[in-house]
Amino acid sequence: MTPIIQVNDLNVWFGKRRILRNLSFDIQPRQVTAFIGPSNCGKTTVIRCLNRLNDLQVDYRHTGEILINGEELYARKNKTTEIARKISMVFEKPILFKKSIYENVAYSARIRGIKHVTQISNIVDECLMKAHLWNEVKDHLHTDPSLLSIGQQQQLCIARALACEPEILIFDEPCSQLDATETPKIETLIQTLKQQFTIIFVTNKRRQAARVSDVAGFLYNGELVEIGKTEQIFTTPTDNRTENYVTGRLG
Amino acid sequence: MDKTKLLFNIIAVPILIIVLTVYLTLTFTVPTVNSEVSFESMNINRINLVKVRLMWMIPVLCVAIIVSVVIAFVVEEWLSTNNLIRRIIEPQIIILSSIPSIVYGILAIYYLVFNPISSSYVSLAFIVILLVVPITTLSAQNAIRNIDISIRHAAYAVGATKTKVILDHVLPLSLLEILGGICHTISRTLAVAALCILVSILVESPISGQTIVNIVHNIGILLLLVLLFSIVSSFLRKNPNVMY
Amino acid sequence: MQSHLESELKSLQHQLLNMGGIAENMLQEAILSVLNRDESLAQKVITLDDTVDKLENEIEAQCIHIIARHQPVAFELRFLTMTLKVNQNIERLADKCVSIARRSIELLQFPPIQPFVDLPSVCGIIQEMVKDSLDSLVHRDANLAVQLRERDNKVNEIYEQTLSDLYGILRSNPENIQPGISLLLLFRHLERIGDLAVNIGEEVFYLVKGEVIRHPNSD
Ligand SMILES: Nc1ncnc2c1ncn2[C@@H]1O[C@H](COP(=O)(O)OP(=O)(O)O)[C@@H](O)[C@H]1O
Ligand SMILES: [Mg+2]
Repeated sequence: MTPIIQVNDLNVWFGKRRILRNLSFDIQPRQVTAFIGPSNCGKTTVIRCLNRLNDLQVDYRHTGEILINGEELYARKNKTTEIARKISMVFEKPILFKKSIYENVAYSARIRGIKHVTQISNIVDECLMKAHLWNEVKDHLHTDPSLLSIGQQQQLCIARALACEPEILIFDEPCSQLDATETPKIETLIQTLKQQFTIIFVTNKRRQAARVSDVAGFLYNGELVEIGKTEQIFTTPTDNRTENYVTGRLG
Repeated sequence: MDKTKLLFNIIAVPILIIVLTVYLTLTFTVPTVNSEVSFESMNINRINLVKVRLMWMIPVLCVAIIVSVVIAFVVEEWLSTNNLIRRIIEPQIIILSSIPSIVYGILAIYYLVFNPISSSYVSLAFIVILLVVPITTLSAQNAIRNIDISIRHAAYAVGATKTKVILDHVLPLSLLEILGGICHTISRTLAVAALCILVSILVESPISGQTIVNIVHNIGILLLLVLLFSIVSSFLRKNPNVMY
Repeated sequence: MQSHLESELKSLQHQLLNMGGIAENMLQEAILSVLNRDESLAQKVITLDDTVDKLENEIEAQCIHIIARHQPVAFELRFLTMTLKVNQNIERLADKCVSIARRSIELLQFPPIQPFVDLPSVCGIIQEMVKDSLDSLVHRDANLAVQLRERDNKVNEIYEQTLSDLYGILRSNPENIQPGISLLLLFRHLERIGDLAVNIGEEVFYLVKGEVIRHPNSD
């Protein structure tokens, strides 16, 4: 299988601080790749390099290659927005626009240039179903989403991300705000979405990465200590730091 | 970074004040064509003259407000925080906005009431701009800055362009607060205008019952408007959590 | 909706039963090769051993991976420990089948000893036990699992009986010593297969009831 994302020797600075050091990894299509590590180790920074959200930071600077489907992400002709459409992101907190449930999802479709009302409405329905939210919201599509539970809001964010028709879905600690009953729903949802999308998943809960991912990478102080099949990382890690982290002795 | 900012202030503020003084002195000392013509000989009502001049400032006010909002958006959206231009402009805005409006009021009284002929519309417009632009810009900037950065991230993450983000999210989210700021400036400007009319009436006629009626008649409506705009502005600034 | 772990456990059980099925087949064919003096069947059993070994490794790796990834508890944990042990028992069972096939080939070199015990019926009992042990796993049937021990006791009795019978025969016909030893070992293998079936039953009982009945005399 050819990797959908290839990262070669990526270094990132914010101002004078070096946040990431010599990261190299491949991401295979239709798999869940998880980045684990203690907080502030650079997980968010890595994934924000992949959809160029870091560009919004004033003092961001990077070296190295990031290839998406073999194409350099930061090449001048690759506009930020086109990349963002291929790579959709769900954040730590459910960030919804102050619009109705319907409009939140429809926004992604409109951004793609779809104008036809029935077409948009179909996309909204379909994405809400894919996000396993349809039954909960089908009767009040035009109400304020802040009335939903946090988990459902997160599902709505996923639906909105799906409406962009992305190839790659990025989740940045999607369950950190959720309680124990809502977390498994999102995890199962990610497992289901894997059949259609390439999923990159960041978490600081090692157990969650173990449950959900196919490939896991351990980041520590801006270094990618180890990346490999999740089973391997959690049964026979090769690096001492990984061993200490997955056993809970570190971070 | 803080040091350079301080340096800019130290250099730029005096320059600005010098420019201002030179300009005002010039308009004051250089006699205009019909400066010898006295009030009495022209036989016009000073109060009406003041009012007419003030009326002419309404379009200036509108333009100044629009320009301020545009400046706020340009500074906040297109100039990064360490951009040179931004580092020059921003402190000036903050300093100028903290000058109390009575200062502009006194300047306006001087030009409108005591020197109505020699004062050009330009200098009056200048006062309006100084009175309006810094405060409106500052409040609009704050309104834009108050929007949670995560909303932008979310919009970029679904593939919105920068203009899309501004038009679809930043503007609607900050609009109420910007309008509140605008109402605030308008009420400030109205108060200054009311002051000018008040002084011109007092100069024309000694205090008497008739004068007070005259004052109320002339500036009562303005003061009511000031009140109204203040109320509206404080209401809008609450920025209620409505869907847009 | 089904969780990811549930579906993984299902596929694991499927694989385990698949392996059990192969072992059952091997037993059937090993026994037939003895009864019908059929060398090709015996050879087939010997080659099948590789498949079972591979399956054993696979299932074991999967169990470990599931434990590492999901940290299962309660029934799911019991299921996984049960799977690990049953997996091992089935592999041993397959090994025994291979040993039977080897004895069967050895016995082909000699003329058949006249029957002194009902070999087909003993084989039948053993086959039934293996089948029931796997069935108890499929149906989560603790009763069926417990009964296996009693049935094994009967097998042991027959085994003891056969030993003394064989001893008598060999004493009177010492020229049969070679096929006799092969036959002896064959019985021993069959008896061991019975024990393995009992082990599987015990694991299934543990899965269903959560109790260990392996060493009832120890307490
Ligand atoms: N905009 C920024 N400017 C400067 N430093 C930053 C910025 N964003 C993150 N960092 C620093 O980068 C490091 C990694 O941050 P992050 O990627 O958010 O970690 P994680 O997601 O693993 O918790 C942290 O030490 C953080 O302080
Ligand atoms: Mg983070």
